[in-house]
Parts: sequence; C-alpha cells; structure tokens
Amino acid sequence: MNEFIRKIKDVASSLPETKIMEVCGGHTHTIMKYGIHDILPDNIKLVAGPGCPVCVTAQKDIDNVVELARQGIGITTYGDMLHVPGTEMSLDDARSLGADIKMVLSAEEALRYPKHVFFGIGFETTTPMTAFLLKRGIRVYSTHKVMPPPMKFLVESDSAIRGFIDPGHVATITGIDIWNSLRVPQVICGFKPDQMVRSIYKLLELIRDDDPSVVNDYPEVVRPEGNVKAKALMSETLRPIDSEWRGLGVISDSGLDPVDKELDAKVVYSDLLKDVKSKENPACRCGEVIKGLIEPYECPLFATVCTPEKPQGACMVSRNEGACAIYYQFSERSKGA
Amino acid sequence: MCLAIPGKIVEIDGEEAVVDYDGIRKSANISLIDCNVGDYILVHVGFAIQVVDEESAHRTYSLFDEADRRLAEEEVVNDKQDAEKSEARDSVVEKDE
Repeated sequence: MNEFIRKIKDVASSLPETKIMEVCGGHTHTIMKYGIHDILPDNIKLVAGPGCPVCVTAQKDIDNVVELARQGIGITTYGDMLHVPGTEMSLDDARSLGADIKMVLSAEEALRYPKHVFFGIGFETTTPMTAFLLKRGIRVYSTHKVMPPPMKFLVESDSAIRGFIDPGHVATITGIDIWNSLRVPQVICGFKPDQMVRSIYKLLELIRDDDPSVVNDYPEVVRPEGNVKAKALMSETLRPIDSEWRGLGVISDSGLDPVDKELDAKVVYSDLLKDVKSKENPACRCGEVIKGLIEPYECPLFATVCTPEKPQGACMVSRNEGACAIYYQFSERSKGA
Repeated sequence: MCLAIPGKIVEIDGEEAVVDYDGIRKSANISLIDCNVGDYILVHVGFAIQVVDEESAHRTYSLFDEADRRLAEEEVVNDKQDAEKSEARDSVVEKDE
C-alpha cells in the first residue's frame, strides 16, 4: 500500500487542486475507518457523493410509506429505513403507535408476509432482490434508484468534480459499459483500504492524462457484462421513471417502479397518498452533504442535536453508509464537537 | 447497503444454498447466478450476486479480518436488537387487541 501512497503523491504533484468523488457509502465507510483522507496530498479533495440509498430517498417517499402503515397497510423493509425521520414521524415511530411494520434482513424474508407491501430501496446491487419479490407477486413501494444518472447530474452542475471512484458492487450487477456514458475519468473500486488507495492512484493518473476512460480495478468481482440474470430480472419487472433524490431534485430516468401496476403500491394506494404533505427540516444540510458541497461537520446540527441515536436527517441514519453517521463514528473532528 | 460478503457454498437445494462464512453457516438464494458446491460467492442481503475465485475471496477479503469481524458482529447484534424490539412491540400490540 505504501507504494501507492508514494505514487499518489507523485501524480498529485503535477495536478492542480483536484476534486474527486466516491459514490458508494461502503467506500465512505472504508475511507473514514482507515483514515484515507489523511494520506492524500492537500490538493486532492476526496468527497462523498450520493452513494447511500437511505440518504438520497426523498422525504415524500418516507412520508408516503408512513401514511400507508398508519392507514393499516402492512409494511416490510430493511432495518435502516425504520429510523429515517419523516415530516411527522419515522416508520419506527409509526410502529410504536401500532402500525404493522416488519424488518427483514433479506428480501426473501419478505415472502413470509405475502400481504405486506415491501418498501424497496437501493441501487442496482439491491434492486434484483426486489425484482425477485415482484416476480413472486409481492406488492412493492419502490424507491429504487440507478447509477449513473446522479453522477451525470453532479458533473454537469459542479464542474469541479474531475473523476469518480465507482461503486464496485453496483458495477458487479451493471457491468462496465454503463459507466462509459459519463465521459469522465472513473475507476471501479473494491472495498478494502489497499484496493481503494490503488484505485485513487489510478483515477489520478486518468485525470492527469485527461483520459475519460473507465478502469475496472475490481476485476476479481466485476465482469464486463455484469450479472446478466439479475439485469434480465430487473428489466422484466421494473421500468425507468424520473425519480426525486434528496438534495438533487428530480433526475430523469434515475429511478425504477414496478412494470405491473397491480404490484405498484404507489398506483394501488394512490387514493391514500394523495393528501400526504412533506416538509424537510430547513436546518438539515443533508442535501449539500449528498452533493459533496460540504463536509458533514459543517452542518450546524452535526453531532449536536443530530446523532446516530437521534438522527435529524437521513445522512445520520445508516451506520454503514450515511456520510454523517460514518463521520460521526470515525472522525476526530466529530469527537471535538 | 451495498455491503457484500464472500462465503463458500457447502450445499445446494434448488434455489437455496448453505454458505459457510468462515465458520458461520447461513442460507442464501442463488437464483441470480450459476454456481456449484465448493464455489466462493459474494452475498448481498441474502442473495448471491457473483461467483469469485477462491484466491481472490481469501486475498481480497482475507475472508474476514478481525476488525471487520467485530464490525459485522456489532451489526448483527444491532439488527437483532431492532428485530427483537419489533417483535416485543408486535406482541404488546397483539395483547392489546
């Protein structure tokens, strides 16, 4: 790893101030846990992007599912979703009031509750499991989102971003071609600290050479064609929609809803959802964290009123992926706060 | 959410496999990949998403280093606590009814 730390310093010496972005919460976790920021030269700014599905889920979707639960519709979902604050309450709060909400560790567990609506969340890594449930007739409220449309959005709105560390397990499903459409330097990266340091070096090389290629630096897992079966299952059961991202707004063709309207909870229960009002906490700066415009500790709520035990914003919820929750765990700055 | 863990398939029954994660055995759905007993696979929320070769499973992940093992155990405990809380509440609600 020392070899690549030295190489990073060499390449960086020929670069101006350079901003690069990781777009996977798993990467944010490795970066903070192993202090990778500390080994980067001052002119290399590595920022966390919209890589945590819980964090980018629109407030409206949380509120809608809370409403369904309060109206007596049973819900199954992954644990992280329970604690995301809604306008009035989280799913966990609704559960305390008696709503029928079951946490599942695997999508397959949701088959045990065939009458419940599965609140599906995640990028391409997690979407095939929801597609599996749709195929078995489970009704779904989908907040599934796809890469790389938000990355394209960010490059177009923030020209300072020179390249991306691409999410290795999303690419395991999608394969490599999909990333070429961005036409900026990218390296598909694994999750161990030595893999990340090597990939950062390769990304800086591409940036130095002004080469908008996609390098697969995780070939032991990511095949060029991706996971063909998973992709076929997704395109059979889900269709692209314009989707709202917290902090980014609506991005065209960036989300997925069920093809079968009978299994789409947004359609089936549209009457129950038509009067749901959503309002984001104006003091919460999750949106800017997701866009990589500020670091978590620059938000006035961070580590003061907003903590993993009592999250005020979505980025403080997921212990593994939320930028704020990860910074809270690992950052010296948060300890000083 | 995109966390995926490598393990070795020790048994296959239709779409389900028993996977050994360095001593801990759990079932995983293998309908998204082509695989055989003895293969190393990467598992995400209960589903295998890719076959990986044994060497890279060991080298890349050192199957679980000590720090990651502790982290994973912590997560399991947290998830279990959440699930238990959920069940406790459900039983209270049922009693009320």
